[in-house]
Amino acid sequence: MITLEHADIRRILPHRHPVLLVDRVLELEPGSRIVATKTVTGSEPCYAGLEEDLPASAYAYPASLLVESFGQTGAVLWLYSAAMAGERSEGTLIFGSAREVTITGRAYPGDVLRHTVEIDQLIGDNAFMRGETWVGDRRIATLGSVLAVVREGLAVGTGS
Amino acid sequence: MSRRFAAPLTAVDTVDIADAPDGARVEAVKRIAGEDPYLVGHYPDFTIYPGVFTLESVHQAIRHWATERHGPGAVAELAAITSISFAAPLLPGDTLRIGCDLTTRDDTPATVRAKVRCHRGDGALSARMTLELRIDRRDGDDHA
Amino acid sequence: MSEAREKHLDELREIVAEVLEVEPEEITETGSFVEEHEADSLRAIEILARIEKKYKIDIPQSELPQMENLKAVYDVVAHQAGWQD
Repeated sequence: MITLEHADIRRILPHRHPVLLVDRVLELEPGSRIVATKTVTGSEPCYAGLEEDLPASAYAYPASLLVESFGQTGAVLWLYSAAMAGERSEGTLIFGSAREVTITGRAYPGDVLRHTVEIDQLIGDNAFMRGETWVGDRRIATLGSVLAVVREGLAVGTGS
Repeated sequence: MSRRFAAPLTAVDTVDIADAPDGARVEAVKRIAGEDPYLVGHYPDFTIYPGVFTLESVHQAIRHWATERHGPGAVAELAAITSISFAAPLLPGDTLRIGCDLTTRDDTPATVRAKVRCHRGDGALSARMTLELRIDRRDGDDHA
Repeated sequence: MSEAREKHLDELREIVAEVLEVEPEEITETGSFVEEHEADSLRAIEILARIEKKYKIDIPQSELPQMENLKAVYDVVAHQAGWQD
């Protein structure tokens, strides 16, 4: 079973602090499946500048960052698998699209997000992935289909 | 600037809300700045507004609508992304223009559906998405 | 039109309509996906992926530019899948 520490992840993903949102890979089966974690802490920039005396729900980890963390986990699986297979992608990694994402729970400072992601379909420089995000034994999100793409330059009509 | 919810950045500069027959029309603008929080890591050698930050911008625009419509204790939480897709990239200096049609149904008043199209300042389509949000009330937090 | 062809066209129409988020009736045989339904390269890849999965075939990405309307999609898929409709 392949596991990866943060230093390994930094060699795979182009993202950097504070937007590198995968801490550790617990399991990786190339071309197939990954389980990775991201620990949510109150010292992250997203918790800066909050008003005093807010209710507990105000500290829910932002859905946007949760989806980003899931997407980066999928990207680790895809890019690591491609490198193992001797394929080298030139270009920019882009979050292309997603469908059927449901968010059923929240994560709070102190929680550990655990993403399980599978590659559903690979078509050239396009990877369709799906999976779930858990906190302990609570599933907090289901991602039906996420499409990540690698594109040369930035002017290809797809962005970010 | 202080916030009442955790967020990676203040993702809208202005928000305009207008009533519509079965819901509301929400329009928002965000000017992308290289100094925006988190962007230093996305990416170190060139800066691009992450796709999920466009989602965050739309979410914050709808949060504005929720507090205006339902009072300061109302919170619009993202429940589902039916679909989202990204087109033209947003770089520092670009302007993100959000156009969001919200519909509410009488039988499920706590659920709001949003059909959203986002354009860059030059008119290029930059993202479209269909979202579902749930209006929660924060007890003890509601001064309405 | 043969029954098989009609069935295949309906299946493909369903896939295209789901990806483009419109009603199946809105997808005509010759209506351009790009001009009438704002399709882009990502939508095209999604359509291709769903077709490959459903019919368990491989469609070369070089066919993508041709797949601009329902009839053209049918022609490409019929060729790759060996349909004799």
